Amino acid sequence: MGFIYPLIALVGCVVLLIIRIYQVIPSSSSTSPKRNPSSKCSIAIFLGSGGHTSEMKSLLSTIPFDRYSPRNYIYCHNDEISLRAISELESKKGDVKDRNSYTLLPLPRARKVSEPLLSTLLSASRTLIVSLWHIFLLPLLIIPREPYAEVLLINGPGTCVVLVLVSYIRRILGLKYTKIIYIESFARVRSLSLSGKLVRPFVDKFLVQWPEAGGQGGRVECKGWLV
Amino acid sequence: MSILLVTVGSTLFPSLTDTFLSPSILALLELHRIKRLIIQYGRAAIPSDHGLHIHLDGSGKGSVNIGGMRVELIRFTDDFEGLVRGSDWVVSHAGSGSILTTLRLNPPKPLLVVPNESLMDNHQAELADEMGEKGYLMVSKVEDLEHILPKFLSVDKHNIRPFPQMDQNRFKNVLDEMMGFD
Repeated sequence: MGFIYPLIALVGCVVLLIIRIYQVIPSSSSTSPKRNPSSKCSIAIFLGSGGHTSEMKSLLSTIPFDRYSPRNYIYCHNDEISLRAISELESKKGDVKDRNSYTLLPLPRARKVSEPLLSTLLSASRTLIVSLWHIFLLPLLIIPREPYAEVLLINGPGTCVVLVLVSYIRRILGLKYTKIIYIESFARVRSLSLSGKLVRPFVDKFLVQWPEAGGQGGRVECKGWLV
Repeated sequence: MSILLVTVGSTLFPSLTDTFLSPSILALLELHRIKRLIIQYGRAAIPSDHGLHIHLDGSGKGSVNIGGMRVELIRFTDDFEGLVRGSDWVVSHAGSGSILTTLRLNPPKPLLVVPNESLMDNHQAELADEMGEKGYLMVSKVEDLEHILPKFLSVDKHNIRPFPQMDQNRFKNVLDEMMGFD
């Protein structure tokens, strides 16, 4: 019978965690307190390769880089298209004199196209460990008060789910946390992508680009075409 | 000189690229006075060329003259926008990047989209159909190309419905509002 107490403790912890997650899940689109228009806001951007990257690049081309600074780019190892997108954006819109205006974080890919389940789990856990270190632990050791970035932009694919997971730790602990915006692809007319469906309950803002893409109800917002 | 571009972006779509090298389609294009056919075939294996004997160099580039028409094969391009700008007609897979680039040129290019039916999650066909219904482009299946291409190639280029340019403030306003900038 010696196992019964640890089991009760474990179940108790899981229940508490679920209650806590339920508490911190955003209930309505929250807005931050007003801030000085000339102040800066740190931002993290996930570039998911291919079409995801090109849509994210269009979105970034519209935001003021002097305001959203520093820009922390997260991308997958060996994704040259995303690296090229970053260098094009930064050389066009960034401050060339300020070397600290952006950072690069390459991650191991969570899932390659048509990868089998078991090896997906393995590579996803590698992605999780690397992101835990760079996005949660390292910032916590350097400046505990501040999250990795004030806001995180994601638009798929799979790896962005891991980023949401890691960003949630600070939220669960009650620390100042990263707000998350998910932008569904322009290509999604009548349905959500898999990563969209997975992260929808957890993100602070969920944008679709076609009115019927988000289905009924929920916090899905459609402001029309964004790219 | 009339130039037709066939593009699959960074994907592979061998049934589309192969169809454009079939004798019946090549004859059809010649009949419609296409002088240059450019096929950007992406990650597919070297397109089976139906006995055309196109020699491809190390980067996957090659060309051949068929009757009065020049057929050029390229694997990828660094300057997709330039490639589209230099063409008169565009036949594309249903990728949103290719669609937006083609429709937002000034003036926009006539666009025929062929969704890749072999994709597992074929949401791209939804996009093509929706944009087709709104009159921005035409849609065809691979097997219907022989019937649709003549219609497409007789479209009046000056009568294409222009697709709105990107609204530069929409996303910025959402982000600013959320982060407390007004």
